[in-house]
Amino acid sequence: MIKTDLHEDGILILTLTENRLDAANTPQFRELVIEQLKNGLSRIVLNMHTVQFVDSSGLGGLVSILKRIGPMGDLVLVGLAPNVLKTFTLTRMDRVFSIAPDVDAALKQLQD
Amino acid sequence: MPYQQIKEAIPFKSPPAENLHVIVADDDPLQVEYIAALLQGMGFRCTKCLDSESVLGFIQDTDAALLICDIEMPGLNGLEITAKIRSSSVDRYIYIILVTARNIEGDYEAGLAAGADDFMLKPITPALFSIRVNVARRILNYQSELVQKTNSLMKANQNLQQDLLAAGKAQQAILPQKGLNSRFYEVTHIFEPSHYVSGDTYNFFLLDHECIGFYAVDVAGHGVRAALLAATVSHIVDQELFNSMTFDSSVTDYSPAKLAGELNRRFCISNAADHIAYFTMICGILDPIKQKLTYCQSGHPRPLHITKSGKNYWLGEGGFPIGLFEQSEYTNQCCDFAPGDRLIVHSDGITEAMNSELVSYGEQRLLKLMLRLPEDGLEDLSNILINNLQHWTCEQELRDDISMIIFDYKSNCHD
Repeated sequence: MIKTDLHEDGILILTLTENRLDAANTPQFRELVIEQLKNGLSRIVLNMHTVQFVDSSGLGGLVSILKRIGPMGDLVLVGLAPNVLKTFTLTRMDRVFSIAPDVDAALKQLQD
Repeated sequence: MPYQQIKEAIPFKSPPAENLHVIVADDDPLQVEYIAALLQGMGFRCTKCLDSESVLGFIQDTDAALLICDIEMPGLNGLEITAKIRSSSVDRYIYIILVTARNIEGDYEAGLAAGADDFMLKPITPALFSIRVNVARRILNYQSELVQKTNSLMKANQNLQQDLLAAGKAQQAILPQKGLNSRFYEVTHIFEPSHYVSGDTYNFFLLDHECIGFYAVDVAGHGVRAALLAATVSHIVDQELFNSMTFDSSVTDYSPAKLAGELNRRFCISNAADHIAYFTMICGILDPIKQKLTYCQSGHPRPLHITKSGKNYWLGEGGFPIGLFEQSEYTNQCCDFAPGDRLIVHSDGITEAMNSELVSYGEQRLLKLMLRLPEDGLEDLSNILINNLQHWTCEQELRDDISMIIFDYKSNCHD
């Protein structure tokens, strides 16, 4: 479901391998990410390039991860498909989450 | 409580061995008496049979669960009796042990292939016999435990379904029972839960000066959890609250954004950190005198506005859902809404319905369908919509809850 990659500078790159994030897989996804947060890493790039659809449960899961990371950490989303971006715009989540076009841009954003 | 029922209803005990009823079949009366004596010595009930016809009769008419049958019988032989029992519709599992005096190669395989469970060669020795019969008893005990568990699970499942069915009815009862037909507007609505209960809810009210107020809510997720929150919203947002929360006395006008802000404040407080319950909403007011729609869109799918002349617009640029962030701000949006115009408010269960290639039904297909609706009335709206979605997804069952409200500003109301 998730591939984990620890980048230099202690930035964690998580790559989702699902094609949708919905009521069925969001609880497990959330648990996996929060497990990673317990290691003390709080700067995270979440690569969602395989995800074609995010439903309301998926969105709730992402927000709960964002809240868990808290103001001391940082989360950047990468690879949002047009359909997913539409959901983000409709719910204004594009103004809540940091979104970058690719992993390099996200890393640069987090390193600055 | 259903869970309690499941736990109590499953006894993890085996039925007592004395209850086992065995049919012994052999055309040799001496052999029958011998085996029957061994079984009785083990404490089992026995029925003795000397011919194949009465074996089948006893299987039908008694509660026998174990058959010990000689292969060489006149009439149907043991293999044929076995095959007959296996192909019949006996209401329980019959454990079959075939017995033979002839050591013919292939008998063993043929017996198992016909459906026998075990095979014994004569002469039968008491020690081995009792071990084989105990194996049979053990397997029959597993079998009857399985049947009991299945029955109690079915019963528990039935209770759950009845509960859900009742909850679904209760939920239907708090929704508007019929449409609304005022001097200026006609309101039609449909509500289809995906599974008994729904995370969708809505209401509409006739307010002062012939205005119509409405809201539609879609709770994130579906099923019972979402339905509980949906029901809570329905109860909180009644006509009185709607009226007082949306009326902004400072500008003596309606402000649906005020209602959204207040609900957001209330629902953010009650949210747990590990599970965020939130909903999307659209609420608005139709004013027939100003011929205007004022609405606040809180993450809900864009409503569709079709004008009298057939022009169409998807309204709104989005907004924060309710219950996610305390600091979310909500704004009002406005558009003209004149006689002959139609407003279609829908939940994302329609536009996000997916086909097998993961393509959503989408706004464009919904628009096409809405432009094709019959001119003479919307009685069939529910069927039309559901048939279309079923056709799109190629599935009978809806994956998500569906709701739609259609507001028509009557063309002839100013005559």
